[in-house]
Amino acid sequence: MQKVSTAYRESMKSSLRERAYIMLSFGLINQEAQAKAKIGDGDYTRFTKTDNIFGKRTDTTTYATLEENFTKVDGSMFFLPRGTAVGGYYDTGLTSEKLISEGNFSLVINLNIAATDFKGITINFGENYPVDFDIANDQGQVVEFRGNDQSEVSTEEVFENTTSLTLTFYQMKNPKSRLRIYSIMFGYGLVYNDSVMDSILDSYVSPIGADIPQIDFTVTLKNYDKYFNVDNPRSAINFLETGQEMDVFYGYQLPNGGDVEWIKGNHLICSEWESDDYSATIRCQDVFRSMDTEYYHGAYNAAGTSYFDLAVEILRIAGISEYYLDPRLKNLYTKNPLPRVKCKEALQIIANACRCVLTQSRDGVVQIKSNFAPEASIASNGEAPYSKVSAVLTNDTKAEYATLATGYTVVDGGMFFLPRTLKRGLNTGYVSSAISGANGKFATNPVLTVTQEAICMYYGVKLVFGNALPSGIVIRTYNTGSLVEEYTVEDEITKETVIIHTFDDFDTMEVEFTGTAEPYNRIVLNYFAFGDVTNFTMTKGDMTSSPKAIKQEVVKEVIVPCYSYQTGNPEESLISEEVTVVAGEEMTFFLGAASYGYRTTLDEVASDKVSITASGNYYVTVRFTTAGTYQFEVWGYRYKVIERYATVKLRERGKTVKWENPLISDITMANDLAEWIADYYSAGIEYEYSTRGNPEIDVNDIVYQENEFRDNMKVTIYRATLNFSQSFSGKITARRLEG
Amino acid sequence: MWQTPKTDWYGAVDANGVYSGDRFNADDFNRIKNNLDCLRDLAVTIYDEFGIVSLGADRTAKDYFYADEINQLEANLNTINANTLKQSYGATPTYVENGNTMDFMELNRLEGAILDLYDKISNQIKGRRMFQWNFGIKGGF
Repeated sequence: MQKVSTAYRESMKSSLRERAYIMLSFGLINQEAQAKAKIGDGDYTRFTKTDNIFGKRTDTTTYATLEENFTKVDGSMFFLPRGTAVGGYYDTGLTSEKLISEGNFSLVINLNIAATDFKGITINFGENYPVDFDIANDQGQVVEFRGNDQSEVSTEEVFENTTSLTLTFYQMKNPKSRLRIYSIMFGYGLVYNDSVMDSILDSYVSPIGADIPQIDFTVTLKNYDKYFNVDNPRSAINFLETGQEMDVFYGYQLPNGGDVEWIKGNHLICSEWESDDYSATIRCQDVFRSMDTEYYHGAYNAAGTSYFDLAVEILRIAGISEYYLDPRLKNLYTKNPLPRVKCKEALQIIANACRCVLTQSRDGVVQIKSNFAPEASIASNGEAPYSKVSAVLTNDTKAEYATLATGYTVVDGGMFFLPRTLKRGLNTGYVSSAISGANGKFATNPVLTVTQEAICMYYGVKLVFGNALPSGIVIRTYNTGSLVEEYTVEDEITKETVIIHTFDDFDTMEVEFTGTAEPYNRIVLNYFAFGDVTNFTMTKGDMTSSPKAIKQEVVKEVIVPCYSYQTGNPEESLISEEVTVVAGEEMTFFLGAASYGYRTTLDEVASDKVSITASGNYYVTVRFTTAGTYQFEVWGYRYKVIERYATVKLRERGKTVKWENPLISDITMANDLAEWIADYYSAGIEYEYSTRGNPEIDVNDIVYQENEFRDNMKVTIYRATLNFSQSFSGKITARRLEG
Repeated sequence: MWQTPKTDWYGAVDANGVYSGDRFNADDFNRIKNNLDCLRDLAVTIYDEFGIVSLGADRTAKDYFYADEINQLEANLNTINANTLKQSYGATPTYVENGNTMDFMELNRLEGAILDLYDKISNQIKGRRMFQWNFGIKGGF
């Protein structure tokens, strides 16, 4: 669920909605030029790096210098190494050696391709941009920029028959400064909003990783001015290329003349387009659709490979540099080799094994995130001898020992005498070891630390206190060690305090008590619980059709095999082929079953004319040193694969689901996976209905769904369609949770 | 030449992520460097002789500055303080190559400490001058 304002949320729920908007932006990039262009030699600083200037570079890491009005004092810039540093330099793009005030500066970009046309160029100069500069191509075409006031400069000008560009800079915003270039894009960004006639965004994700997630977007643009006609030489459509990126934003006019609140719809890849005299249609897809590179490097590792490392390797092979992997994957291991599958399927298998869901974020970032309610543990920085801090996570009646703390001990007979020796204490909650002073403040504030098994977000926490109340609470959340948020509770603190606040993704929460309401008291906490995972209810008012309930086939049991790879099979000929090779030729052969212990023969005898240069359980790469025609064979052993089953029984009747994940090599993980899959199948009811359209909903969101027979029914939305036609509408497919 | 230290450094980013705070220029580097030299010269007029490490000639806009130079400015301040009033000016950060540069709070602490030492040592000097001994005057003091 995307974050939205209260005004947005309330207005979207009202019977009459305000106006909806859409905005599309996509770059018309000449991808061949983008891939092959290089910056020519020039008078650059020693820390200049031009390798990634034509890549997808959004950060502007910058070394602090003494240039005029350049160095910020917020600690965001970096100290330049003296040049002898072992770690080298950060990639800060290109920086001219001399100040532009000392003389004009030129640089040459060689496209390194045959003469080509491209429409527009976009250059990111950073905060200190040039005011006056020219861009000239090798055909003598010059585009002059005068009085520029933008850090990211773009032009729609078509550069024709171009093999190189020369950029000449005359004046900077701050004259006594260097020129910096962080990125160059051969093309420019197009932004459409009023031209959009309609659009459909269809998103699907399997909550248990049964399929690859899928997003399809279709937009129809007005073409009355024939701007998108193929025959129009200035038409943007002539410069569209498969694989170009498109950003979709949805807007909603806040009531009473408020601003338009924009929500990012998604970041997608263009796949097809077409046009006629009235409209142009562009279709886009998710980032997984083209992730078809085969992963064949699977290798058995008796010591275990972390799922995190495995995912990083697959993403590297798939050419994905921006991703988010749940840090929990670092502590989960597999011994088994990953079979030969496409990279996207490999990621899906990893996500499933770790009870995660594979998705792309709305920024187009591949992510694998835990998809289960994590268990939590709690600890304190000091508790009384009779305190049981771990018990506060259990919602039961807690005993309280009478003490002489100010105003603490009640005289209704409900409190208990503290034994002199605590052999077997009563079921108490958390009681701090620290006692507040006369001013109700502690020398060291009591802090409870709640650690979750996986990163998760919650809409609030609940605290049930004993007979002593704190005077202040500060809550800090951390995500893998980094502070996410510090929230000071400003509401009145009562015996049963519910803090309604959105705590974004975190794995650790610290609850610090800054004082007690009465002096000379301890903190007494009997119960702690996280709030809800959703604050959205799909009411009948949000639906435009009656929800169709679909009862799924009943599942009796879920079986998850745990695979163990064992040696002991006899050696056999794995590959046998007549090959004709030249000296130095390398060949890679792929195997159908996981194998090991390779050796090669030529014409049935071992030979030094061939050697194995690389291998895994599913491939062998060999190098031939002598030309000729040979009967080539690879000998080796196939693994014996033994299965053990983790079984979760749901009911007496129904079908059996056997969930085979080849990476599962640990019976504990198999049991966890079986429980997770069983949870999914235990409900077995799905709902389909049309809605008024909510751009803030993500697939895999858990929401409440109004139901006349079940109060507070939670569902997971796994397919969502959002239509835009000057207003929103949509369609939802959701699966019931919790039986 | 002593220049009044800047003690109102601030750095801020607006709602759009645009930086709107102060910028650290060559003049600022030179002021801190030279003020520390002035402060040492002032201090040794009433305290035992001691030295600080020179950071060389004034910088210009085309020069770079390095982590070890800012560390040296901090060290020079500590040397002067240790040889004079031994005040407490908070923890001294250590900057490293490729590490984040100082923020406005550290600059305020550094220049605030320089100004504070300068004022206090100046007062000591002025105080000594104002205390006069009178010998042989009838009627006493």
